[in-house]
Amino acid sequence: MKHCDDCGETPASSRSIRPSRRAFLGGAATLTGATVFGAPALGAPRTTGKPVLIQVFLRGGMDGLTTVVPYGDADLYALRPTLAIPPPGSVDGALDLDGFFGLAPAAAPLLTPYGDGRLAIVHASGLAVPTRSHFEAYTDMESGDPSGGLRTGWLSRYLIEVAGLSTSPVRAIGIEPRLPLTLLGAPNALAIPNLARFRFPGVLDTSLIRQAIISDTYSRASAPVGAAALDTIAALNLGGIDFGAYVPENGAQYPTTVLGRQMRHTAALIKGNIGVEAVTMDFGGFDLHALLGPIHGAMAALLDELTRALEAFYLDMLGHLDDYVLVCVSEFGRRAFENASEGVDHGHGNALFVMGGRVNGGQVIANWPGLSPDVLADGDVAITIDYRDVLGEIVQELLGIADLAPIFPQHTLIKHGVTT
Amino acid sequence: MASQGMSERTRARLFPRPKASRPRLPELEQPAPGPAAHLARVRRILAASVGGTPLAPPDPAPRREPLLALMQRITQGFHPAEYERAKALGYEAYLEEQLAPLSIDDSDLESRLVRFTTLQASPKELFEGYATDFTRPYHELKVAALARSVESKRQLYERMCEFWNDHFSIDHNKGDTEWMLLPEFDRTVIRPHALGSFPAMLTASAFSGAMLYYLDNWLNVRGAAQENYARELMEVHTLGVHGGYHESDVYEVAKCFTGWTLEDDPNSPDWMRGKFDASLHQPGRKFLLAHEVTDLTHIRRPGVPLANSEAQQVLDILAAHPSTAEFLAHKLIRWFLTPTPPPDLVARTAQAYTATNGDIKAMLRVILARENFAFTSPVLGRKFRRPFHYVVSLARALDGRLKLPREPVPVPADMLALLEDMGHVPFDHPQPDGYPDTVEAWGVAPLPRWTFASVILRESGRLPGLFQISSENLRARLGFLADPADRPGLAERMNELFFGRALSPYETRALQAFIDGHASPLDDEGFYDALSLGACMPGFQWF
Repeated sequence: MKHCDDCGETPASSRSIRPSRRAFLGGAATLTGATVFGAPALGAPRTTGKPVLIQVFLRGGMDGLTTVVPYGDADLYALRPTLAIPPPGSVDGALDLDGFFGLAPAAAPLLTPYGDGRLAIVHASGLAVPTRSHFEAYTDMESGDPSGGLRTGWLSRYLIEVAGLSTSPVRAIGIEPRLPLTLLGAPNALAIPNLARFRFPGVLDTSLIRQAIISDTYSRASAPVGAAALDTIAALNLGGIDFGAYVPENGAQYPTTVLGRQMRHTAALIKGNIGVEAVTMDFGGFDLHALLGPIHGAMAALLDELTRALEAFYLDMLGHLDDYVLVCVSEFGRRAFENASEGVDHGHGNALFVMGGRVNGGQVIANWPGLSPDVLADGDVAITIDYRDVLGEIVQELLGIADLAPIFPQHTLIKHGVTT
Repeated sequence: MASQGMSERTRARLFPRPKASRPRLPELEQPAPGPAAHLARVRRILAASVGGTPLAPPDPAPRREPLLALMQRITQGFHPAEYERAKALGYEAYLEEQLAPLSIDDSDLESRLVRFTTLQASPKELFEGYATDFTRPYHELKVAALARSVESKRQLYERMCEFWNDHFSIDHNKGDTEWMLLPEFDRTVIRPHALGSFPAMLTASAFSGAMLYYLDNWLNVRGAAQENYARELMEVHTLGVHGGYHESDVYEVAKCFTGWTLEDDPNSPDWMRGKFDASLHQPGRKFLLAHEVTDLTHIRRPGVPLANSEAQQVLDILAAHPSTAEFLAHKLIRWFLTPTPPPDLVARTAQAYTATNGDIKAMLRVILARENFAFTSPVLGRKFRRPFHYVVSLARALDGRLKLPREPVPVPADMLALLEDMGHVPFDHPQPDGYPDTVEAWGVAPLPRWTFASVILRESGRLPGLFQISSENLRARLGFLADPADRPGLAERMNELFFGRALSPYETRALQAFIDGHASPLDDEGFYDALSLGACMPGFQWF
């Protein structure tokens, strides 16, 4: 579990976010009114009228057969005699979802949004190319064009498609030191490791002058560095949102971990309404080849942290359900059968989550392929729902892009009823 | 996990919040004394010099004479004294000197690092000394990497150690054990072989406790073999993902490595080091890339070392494979020359590898040949500084010396906290592919870099864990003794003496305009303000 030194809940008098104070250094806008050498600045709240897309990428290959157990498939218990989570009603048994699938006990917090019909699970899903390499799978999956040659991120191409709707200098944020490949080549996308510290350093007296000189010199620097610097200057202080004093609503309790901080700040960011259209973050550690620990070990600890953060975000955002749609994906699932290290190697089909106000939740959406030897894909769960069908449906139905060809080229969308 | 964060007080000082009550500045159209007039003046100077067009065409990469270009690439950062020394030696002699690190006296740094005793400790000693709080060994390994990169005279060697630690990337934070294994990995796998034999380094890595633990092979036993190490061995250590192996090869290699585990006898001095347990090994025939791997494990012959037979055969096959030669050549050319390695140079470098059975120096002699650094060289492309390189380059430029505590207390982690904001703490990459080396990965988060440039200068005397610098020294080097009489040409001298001419003429003029327009005297604060602005500029982000 990654702890962070400023993830604790900060007591404050206000119950909600207050983007009240126009930041003194907000993009040097004080001096010039609107621009520094042509770069647009953050100013009044704006909205594109669309939900903010949040991607939580589970790095390392999350084991979907542990997280969302197909306990109704007897083959599971032959493939994983020591690691499979027992059916509901047993000791450490799964939490029933629909009579066939159940949640790992450690993922219990997901029952809150699931029970409210705001969380959908899609199973036997994923990237339908045979690679079992993390890094190749990231490239293929995050590009959204596994069979073609595009290497920009699918989310970047979405942002390009709707570029005309926004004047914000920061349209997408990876709450990380680096952007994921999902946002490779994105316009107005910044990696911001900690939203609460997005402030210009150094002597205050020369702050604006240095910002102006930096903007000017970076306007001559090549992409993506030049544009990122200009966007950074224009977006400094993120509209004055006070992330440190932010108090979650509805008693939401975020874990005091990096992920908890990232989710908490995402809530504050969305409520602050400064024109950000997409937020991404990574949550890693799922590459559990050995000592999987589905009930009390490593996997359980990861699921506990992940699902508590998701539940807290859900509760915190209950009044803003239509302002976001969250997807939780991983590059592949893990091998159907366990190895002699009490772990599972790289696999194929997997579970993913979608959460939000217009999600057709409270169900596990799957064309379950089964786990008998003749239907396994090289020993792994087959993929019966392409991950692009899930993302594509969200982009089309919730984000309003009718033509998906630029975003997911060479893919014919099949909708599975993920959205309402 | 050990804490590496800084206190809230320190944070507050490093990242000051602007005061909300501060008065608004006057509008630009009505110049008044103070900052606005300064900005107006800067703009007039810039407008006069280039027309002030925003989004102008990119500045071209600086043209450098070959020795300076070589220096920029094989060191962890330019320093004028190093450059003068290199010029006295000449291109070939300087390169050969750097290729023979043991010939270079580094006793000053080594004597300072002696107090980092955990660097020399075995896993057993680290466990006995620090099991309850491993902050000290955890910090010392990382801070030593910083100190060596800044201060060592064996600069090419340090650059190669960084390269190989990424190539054989191991996450310091894995489980509850890696912290006690990784110092020995750096000491006995990476550093002895960084400019030596790749096959020897590969073998040492495969049987090290640190790698066996990191990629879980210590739990890989007969029955259903476990693939973690086997896959990454081929994908990121040797052949590359398109190097011609198949899923079946992954499984065969996994079987060959069954039984390679960790010494678990707590009384053994080799506790947590690699060992082979034949009883855990998968018997039977195995094949890799059309070779049959000979199973000697169960043939008991006196005097024949059985332990590593199959695993060693796998490593030999992989090390000798043409895909490995090409993969390493490509990656090394990226590291030193260009983001887009040209195929013919890759081929020649790979040939040097094959002809010498994997001699790293032989590859470097091809890559670092003078012709590749000529003015007209088509194989020299711009390289974006990774955050670690940015930090270390700036510290080197400013004669920074890491302040090492006298007592064997945990070394303060302020530098590590700053690197953490940049996402580039040594040994902390969470996956086996190592930190990326592309502008796309690192170029979209400029603010933590600007913050570092400000902090290293302004806080150097106040924060104990930072590189220490001396304004007297810097002023003397620049000939900036009397302000404002010495202001003319100051930016040009900074560029020449600190930034290795990385700033473009336009950026130098902008920096000079900032200096000229500075209303108050350039005391240490003002001087550092100007210097950090130079380090924030685009030119210094590349090398």
